[in-house]
Amino acid sequence: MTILLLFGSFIVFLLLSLPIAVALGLSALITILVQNPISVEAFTQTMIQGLNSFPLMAVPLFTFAGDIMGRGGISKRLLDLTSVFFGRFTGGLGIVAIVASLFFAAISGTGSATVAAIGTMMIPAMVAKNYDKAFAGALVATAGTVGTLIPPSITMIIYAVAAGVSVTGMFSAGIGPGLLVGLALIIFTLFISNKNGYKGDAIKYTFKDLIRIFIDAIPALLIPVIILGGIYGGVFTPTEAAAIACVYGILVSVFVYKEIKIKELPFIAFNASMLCSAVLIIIGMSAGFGRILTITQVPTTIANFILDLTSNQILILLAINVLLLVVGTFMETNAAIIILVPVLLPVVTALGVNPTHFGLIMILNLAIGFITPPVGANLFMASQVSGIKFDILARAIMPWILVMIVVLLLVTFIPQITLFIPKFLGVPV
Amino acid sequence: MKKTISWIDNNFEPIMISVLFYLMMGLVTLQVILRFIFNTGVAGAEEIARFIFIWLMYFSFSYTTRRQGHIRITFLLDKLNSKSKRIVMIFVDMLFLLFSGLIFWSAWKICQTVILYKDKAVTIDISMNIVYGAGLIGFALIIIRIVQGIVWKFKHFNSSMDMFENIGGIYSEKNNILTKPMTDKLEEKI
Repeated sequence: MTILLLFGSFIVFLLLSLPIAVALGLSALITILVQNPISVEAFTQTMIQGLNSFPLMAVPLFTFAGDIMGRGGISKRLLDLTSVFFGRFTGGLGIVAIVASLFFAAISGTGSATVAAIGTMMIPAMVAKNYDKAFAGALVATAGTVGTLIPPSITMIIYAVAAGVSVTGMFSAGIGPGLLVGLALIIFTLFISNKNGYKGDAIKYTFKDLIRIFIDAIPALLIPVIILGGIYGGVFTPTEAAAIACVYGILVSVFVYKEIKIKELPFIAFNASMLCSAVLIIIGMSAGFGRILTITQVPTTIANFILDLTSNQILILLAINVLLLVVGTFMETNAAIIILVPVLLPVVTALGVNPTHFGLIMILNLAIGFITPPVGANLFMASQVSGIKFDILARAIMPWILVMIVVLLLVTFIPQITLFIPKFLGVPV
Repeated sequence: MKKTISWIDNNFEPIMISVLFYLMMGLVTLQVILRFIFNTGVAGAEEIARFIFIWLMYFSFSYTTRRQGHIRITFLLDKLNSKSKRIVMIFVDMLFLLFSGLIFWSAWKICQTVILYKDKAVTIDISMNIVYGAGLIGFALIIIRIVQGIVWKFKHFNSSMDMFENIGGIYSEKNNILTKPMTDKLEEKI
């Protein structure tokens, strides 16, 4: 009864196009009015306290750091550096775009920011070298998905808060799957490039050029070292790392690369807060919603129902993958995580799946949603920075989605890909 | 007078957001520096940073409401014809208003209870209303922003859909004092 009331009204409100946060809140209030599991004040109190969280603070901070470092400057220098290594091979520009996306992902916390930063420069460069335009766009859009997998990642922080696991654990668990995606994309690019004869770029660099390119890139390369080194070395928490990354980002872009003026800083802080506020209001609301779930034991009921049907781990994980792929095509990733974690996590933990491993499965799944038409944030971004028509991109992306699904299956059924690096670093997960 | 109100309407939350953001960032950074170099720290700094974060977010929620920027699922809505879509959107705003009113009212009751029982924060000697007050003020602002949105929609009921939806507040925002970077002009085109 409670399930029907809570989720029934929630789905009706969602379909009515109510903001997701309000749909959560209103369905909770309706359940409170009818069944009275907690008081309205208790709901409001939990909702406001939902934001009283130190780990969540990293979300606007990392958004700011990624935003300020993405505004020109850093992405260009990363591309210059990777071109030195990979530019000359067949399919080289494609590889450069993928490797630079991996690097940029270690600076920024979102996928579409990575697509914008890399795509603006790399898609025209590839087209100039006779790469198929749609292929170039699809490549950059897909490479952008590593933005959510390689730490730091906003989505991982949100999963960690929703699932009650450690942010540091999630951050280290993302490296394996992130690199695997990068590797799979490079192999696929090489395959297509050989078939279509996309030649490399045989620039002769003088020694002086090489030194200049490397020195120019040092401030950019130091960021992952500081952020990740600091977190894994136990020097600071992820939230503190995010604040340090902001300060570092300001210093580098204002004083070293000189791409940002001091008077622009207030706007960038405002912009970063606006970029994540739509997600954080859902988190606050879901704290209140979650309290009703816990008190009425809805997740346990759902978990028991599913486990009664089958307790085959492979079958359930496959079913969850299909569900997430569908949800990922029409719902914003972070919102989907906040809503689905409380319901799905009890099911998989009952089957012995590690919560951090499950987080990576979820995030990779929903990241595929970034490149799946009809919505697909990365596809839109790639279409807009390159001027390629959306429906042409939507066709060209299909083989890339298949590649990603192969990676997804590997990550789902080989937990070691995810859990190897945390174990190696000695991070508890 | 009208000019002043329009200025506050456009700039109140952005200024608060930007100031609170740098306060929060500074406080967390300071804590790291003190610990790392001087092996010391400010008592309660983490808790204060969290309180700043809550206020920061409530001002952002309010401005997001003003910009019609909340995440929603629109695939059914987009199937409707223009007129029914407009009616549904206004109805949805009314529901949002009703919800915010209820939350505001219960936040008000919470704040009174806190005063009555003198609830204090954990590490610093300050009333817990520093937390619940953010919800109270935040939802008061959100209510104002929703009403503004509904008025806008009635006023532009017969205008183009873009104008009516006013997503991102592109048609209603002017005289912003925060300086946009040059690169943003490009992003706007995107």
